[in-house]
Amino acid sequence: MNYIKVDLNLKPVEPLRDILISEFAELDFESFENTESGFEGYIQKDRFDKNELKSLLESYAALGDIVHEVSEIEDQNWNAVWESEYEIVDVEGKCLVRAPFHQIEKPYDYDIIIQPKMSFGTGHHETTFMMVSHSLETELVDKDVLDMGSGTGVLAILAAKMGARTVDAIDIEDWAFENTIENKTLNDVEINVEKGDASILKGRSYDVILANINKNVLLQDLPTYVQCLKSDGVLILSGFFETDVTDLERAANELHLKLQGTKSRNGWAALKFKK
Amino acid sequence: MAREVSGLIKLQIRGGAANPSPPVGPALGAKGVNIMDFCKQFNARTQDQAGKVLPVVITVYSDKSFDFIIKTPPAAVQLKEAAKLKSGSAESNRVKVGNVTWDQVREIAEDKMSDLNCFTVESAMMMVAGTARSMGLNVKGKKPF
Repeated sequence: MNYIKVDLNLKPVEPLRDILISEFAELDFESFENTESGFEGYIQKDRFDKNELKSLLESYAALGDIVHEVSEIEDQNWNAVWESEYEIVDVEGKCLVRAPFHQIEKPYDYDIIIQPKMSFGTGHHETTFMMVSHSLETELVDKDVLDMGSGTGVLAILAAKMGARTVDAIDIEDWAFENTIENKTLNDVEINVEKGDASILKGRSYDVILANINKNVLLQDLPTYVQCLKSDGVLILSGFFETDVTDLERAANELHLKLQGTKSRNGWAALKFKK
Repeated sequence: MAREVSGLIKLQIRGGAANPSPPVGPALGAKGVNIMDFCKQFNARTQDQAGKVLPVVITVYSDKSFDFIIKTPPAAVQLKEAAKLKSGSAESNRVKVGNVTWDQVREIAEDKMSDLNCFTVESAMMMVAGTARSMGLNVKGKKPF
């Protein structure tokens, strides 16, 4: 998705910057970067309306000098620098997450190759690390597994390597969808990769559901996950802080899930439930 | 050895909605920071303020690590909330689109004081009241000082 950047030069900078950012937010601008002389506003190209912007800026002309410049930013992998030199992650001596350029010195039970391309899930983050760790402790042989919010697909790939019968990997982001497919190929495993949200899960059934997303999405989609979970099925969740655990446990309790295990690492948490 | 600061980035991002697109991607990516890590942290910390514009100051260090401070929404965003209006006035100086009270102005001024570079609550209140009027908001009642 290409973005539109609107570069604003303001005189005086305040209060114009403050006011215009609040107004741009109403026009579906997603985010802003402060500059010396004003700010830059960013919006998805298909949401940008040139005339709407023009009339908004005209309405504030009396407050000072407003000069703006519109440009288009091509979609690209902004994370390429980090990805070109990331370090190997070793999860408990059993699972390795590494880039194609890394050499390994000894064999691991599970060797996962990830070329991330602006998607989440390399094991560097505490939540991915704990999801991998929970997965390693879960029986996945001949199970039907779902990786919801797959990112790089790291958890789906691990599940496939651990002997899952079927693996579905779903993500709402274009970059993640494409990246999961790429990494699936790099690791030579069978995964059904789809783009979408929890609404496409209706009528499906899984033995194990893995979801490393965020608190709000998890709370919202928890009932759907539970509906899709076979009896005795396992649900592993992360993407939230230890301070959020009470909220998630409460929601899980209401859906009659039984807590099986808790992990925490640097303030982040990962919970394992059984239906 | 102390970490050296290699850059300070000032962004305003909606709570729970940081993604690797511009400006987050180019601003952090060019410095070799793992953008996905920043997005995960920012989004987890702002789940309770989903969708709200939040200023964030990111410090990037020479070892490509980072930390960041999330501030409360800008005064103008808070004023809109206080006046319960969606958008400011199209003709701010002439048409008044809503009202805020001096109590609300004080609350916002106290909240944003450090960002406004003010040494007293009164001067911060004057700045916030000025922003309100520029947006077409009436500040109701008698000035309390």
